[in-house]
Amino acid sequence: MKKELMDILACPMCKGDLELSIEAEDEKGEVVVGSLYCGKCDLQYPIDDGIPNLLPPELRQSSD
Amino acid sequence: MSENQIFEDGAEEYDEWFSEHWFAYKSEVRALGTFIPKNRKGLEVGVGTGRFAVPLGIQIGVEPARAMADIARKRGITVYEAKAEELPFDNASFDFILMSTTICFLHNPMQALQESARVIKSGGNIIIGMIDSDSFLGKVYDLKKKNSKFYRYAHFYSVNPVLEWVRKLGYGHIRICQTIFKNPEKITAIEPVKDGYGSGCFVVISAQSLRL
Repeated sequence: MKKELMDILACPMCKGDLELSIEAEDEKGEVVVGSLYCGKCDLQYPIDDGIPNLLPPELRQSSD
Repeated sequence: MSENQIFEDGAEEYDEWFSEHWFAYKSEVRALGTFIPKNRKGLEVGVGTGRFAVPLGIQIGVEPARAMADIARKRGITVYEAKAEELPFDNASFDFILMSTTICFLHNPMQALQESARVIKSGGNIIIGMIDSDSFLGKVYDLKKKNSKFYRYAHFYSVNPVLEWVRKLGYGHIRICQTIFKNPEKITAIEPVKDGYGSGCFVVISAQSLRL
């Protein structure tokens, strides 16, 4: 995931801001593993293999 | 097998359709390209494996099926696993949104179009590519639905209800074109793109967001 796209990213539920935590980046500086956190909803959205999972919690696959 | 699981397990099979129906696919890309603005920031909602985003120069996509999203990412698209009805973006983030053969798979297309209206900048466009249920192909797909892995849960629409939705949501300056006038199994060249709808199986609607 490209970090510069954080500017337009929002929580899919409340549309509020998300906080990015990075666990691993690739050579281009893109986030490969990490998470996005919405403080208002108290929800964490995982980033796995470069793809943030921003599905509503009830639709998420058992990736966590 | 659940609706979403079909696209998780069948991503590669779904993607192969485009290689097996190359001229139909290229005709669809050409028709969509008629309305895609040049050098603008676009989002494809229901990006699938990236078959439309890549040739149309769209760099960002949303896709709920992870296996499809993985293929799109390998093709260079920045993909977010998310639902069309609940987009993870701020208001007015994109110059245009493409939804190609997406509406037929949505639970709530009106809500998805409303979310798109929120995320598109004022003056920006929504571009919708769809199989017209009134066309011969729409009728064939509808008949074969029960036995089709991918279309079992699909709902094909005719053009008029979709036009009603976009008008209700405050879009204007509507333009429409169409392509694929023959059976896609038998096409041996890229099909022409014509104005309007009513004779082509694949219809593209472009509408401008007129929010102030």
